[in-house]
Amino acid sequence: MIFLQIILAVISGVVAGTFTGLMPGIHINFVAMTLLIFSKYFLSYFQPLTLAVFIVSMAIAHSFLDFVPSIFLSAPNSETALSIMPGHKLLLKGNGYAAVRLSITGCYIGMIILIITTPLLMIAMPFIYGSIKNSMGLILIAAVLFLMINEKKRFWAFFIFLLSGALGLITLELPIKEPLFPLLTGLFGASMIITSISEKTELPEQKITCIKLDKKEYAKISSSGLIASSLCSFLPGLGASQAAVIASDINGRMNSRTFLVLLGIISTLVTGLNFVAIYAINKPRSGVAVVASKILETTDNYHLAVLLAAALISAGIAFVLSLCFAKIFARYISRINYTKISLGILGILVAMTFFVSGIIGSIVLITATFIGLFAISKGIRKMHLMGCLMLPVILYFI
Amino acid sequence: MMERISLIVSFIGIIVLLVLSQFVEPKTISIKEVDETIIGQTISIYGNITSVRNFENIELLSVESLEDTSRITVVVFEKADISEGIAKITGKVKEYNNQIEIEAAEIKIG
Repeated sequence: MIFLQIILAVISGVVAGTFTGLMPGIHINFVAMTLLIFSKYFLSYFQPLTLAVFIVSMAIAHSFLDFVPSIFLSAPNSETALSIMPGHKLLLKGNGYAAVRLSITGCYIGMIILIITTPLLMIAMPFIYGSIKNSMGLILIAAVLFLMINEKKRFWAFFIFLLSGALGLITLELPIKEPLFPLLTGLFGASMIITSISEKTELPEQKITCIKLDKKEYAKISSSGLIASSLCSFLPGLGASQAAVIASDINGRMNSRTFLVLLGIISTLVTGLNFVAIYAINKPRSGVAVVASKILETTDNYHLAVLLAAALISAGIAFVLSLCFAKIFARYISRINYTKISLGILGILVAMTFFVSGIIGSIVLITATFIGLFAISKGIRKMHLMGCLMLPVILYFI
Repeated sequence: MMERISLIVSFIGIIVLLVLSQFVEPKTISIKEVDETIIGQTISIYGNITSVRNFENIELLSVESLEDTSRITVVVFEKADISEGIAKITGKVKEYNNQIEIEAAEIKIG
């Protein structure tokens, strides 16, 4: 009976995660919080573990499906903002499908790394947690500085880092709902969409092919992804974005393809490790993990094993679903005038921002969009716009 | 041209938001919503101060929700001789010694 419940929870979790992943602006935390509000009602029918399985499956599926709208529509959810630029590059060459395939291959690799390293991290993390915590401020500052040094236009990179950082600091203080949505949508999504519109971008016919990477490259980005993700999954306020900055320091310059795989690995690995943190250090480290831990109440290793198994199954289903949706997008996107699609998406993003985060949120969106446009016109890598999340976190840790 | 316009709008936006942030009240949430996900944010809570512990430099308040049984620790860095009772507390959410707590910036009693 419990087995059947869990399988059902996995399937419905994947369906929910597919929905939140494909829709820009609907954050997975929102669904999880809704679930928590009704949890008393659900708990009279289902075991806590079943609900936790639902949440984990949803989070994992979300981390896969998230890449489809980011790459095809430049519409980010909060974890995939950095994939828009490399994804768009491949899209312009007719390789949108391959771009999704690369990212979610990364996601699946992340899932496998999660399963392999969880026992190790469970033992190691309680011991090294304290030292990471104390040195995190320095690690983050070093990560940012390395990123600057590698840039040709160092002054402007630093300037854009500070500008987006200032916006991030102010936005997180404002009393708005989902502050990250207008912030990241403006910096990474809307600015990109407006550039496509003003350049009258036309998409070529999309090919259904896959791009293969060298095994050595996979090994290299997997290890840097693992190091960065485990640094950022166990501390408050850190997540996939900070992990991406650290991992790209470790790797040095990457092309669009390897960068997409790296972002995939980090996206799923961080999502998974946020849950593992509940068991390793008794701290849930993401909105969805907080909800799962509130529902579960107790922590035992049997639960963790069930959750990991559920995550692995969800990852498999989400992989296939992502490819299906990517195929659908690839087939139709070049038939419709891309400027019209872009205008439509821009309209949806603006409406969602107004609806979710109100008037102040809309001002954040406008400001963020123009900072993003400034970075594009200066030819500065979008990574530096992550100052919006790096600066507040650095100030928190020092 | 585009560069200059984006730079100007960015600055105006940041200044407008900065001014707004000085005037808009931080969002008020219930104590059970204070968790890991909002660490670093400034928020307000309503609650009943049930105990005040005095230390050398700080005061630790134990605050209970008015709606349910959830509670939270509030740290006050300036000695203010706070009394027990219902209050509105505004401050930053922090993690200290593995506990979530609020670092008070303003406390209105009653």
